[in-house]
Amino acid sequence: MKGLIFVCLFAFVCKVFCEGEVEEKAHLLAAKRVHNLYLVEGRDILITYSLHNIGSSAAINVQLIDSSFSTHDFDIVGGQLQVKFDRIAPGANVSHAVVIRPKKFGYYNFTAAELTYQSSEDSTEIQTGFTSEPGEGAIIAYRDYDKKFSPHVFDWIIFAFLLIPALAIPFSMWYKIKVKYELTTKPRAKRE
Amino acid sequence: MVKFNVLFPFLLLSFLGKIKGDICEGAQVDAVGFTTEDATLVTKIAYIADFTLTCSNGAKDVSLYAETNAGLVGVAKSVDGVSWTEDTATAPTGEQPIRLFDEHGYAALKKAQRSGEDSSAVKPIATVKLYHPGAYRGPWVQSETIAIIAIIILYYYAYSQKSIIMA
Repeated sequence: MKGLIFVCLFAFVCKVFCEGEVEEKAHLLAAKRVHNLYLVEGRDILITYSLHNIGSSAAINVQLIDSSFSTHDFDIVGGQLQVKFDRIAPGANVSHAVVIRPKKFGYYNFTAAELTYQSSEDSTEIQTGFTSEPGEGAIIAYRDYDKKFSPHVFDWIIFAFLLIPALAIPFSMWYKIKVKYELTTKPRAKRE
Repeated sequence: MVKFNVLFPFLLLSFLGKIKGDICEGAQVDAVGFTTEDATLVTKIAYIADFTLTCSNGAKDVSLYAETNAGLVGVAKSVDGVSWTEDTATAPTGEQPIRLFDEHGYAALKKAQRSGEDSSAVKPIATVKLYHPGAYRGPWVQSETIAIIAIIILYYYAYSQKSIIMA
């Protein structure tokens, strides 16, 4: 449940750098989202960055750098934390996905990624902006997650082994008697 | 005049090539793919392919576009990378083709899509295949269910044997 609220919080888009109403300029809206039900130590966390150009000109040399995931705390298992898009046309969407695995558990504050771009073909000025911040999330320990969600196959096998004496001893006693009883009854059945 | 007509598209192409970055010939792609495989944790399946493009003519900074099952996707640069996400319920499994296009291919693809033609006729400069084996959505049957079924079977056997003796 906590995870769901968490994901909802992330769907918060922030507007990046807004100035110059008349000029033909690119304006990028950038969102950073975490698409996870649970954040678990050592398991995948999927992060997507979506950039949308609401300006009237193409954004050039768009660079997205997320320095919030240090290699000390996270393993980057898929994608890149530093990417460059040559050009984002006006009205176009671009998305980028990264998969990371946390090395530790505890609370972690997911902060914004940094965005730099030129707002038109001939502009030399570099615009800087930030994506939305997903906010703080609790990364739970793998041990706790496993306790709650694993199929507990091993535990059930142990339970079955513990049941064996209680079931097998009466069964074997009954079976011995049954075999004896059948030996005495069977010949009689043949005679009839 | 005829000669010019034949030459003109080539001239135009080479001119476009000059202003829009180099044309990549004999493209070779070396790719590493990753997909999320635990649908019990994530709400979307990510398809990520990082690749390096080498052109036999030594062209660099080629603008790339990729066509995937999710439509046209922008190619991020650092190492070139394509990534997109799909909902866990609808995410396709198996080999996902990623068709890479340069500026010209992209323009031809856009044109084909506008006129409603089949976009697969446009030839990509390279194709990358990303394999997604499918995601784990939790066990098919809960282990509790198996335990209950086993208990019912055992009880049924014991009870039926007992009723044979008692009869």
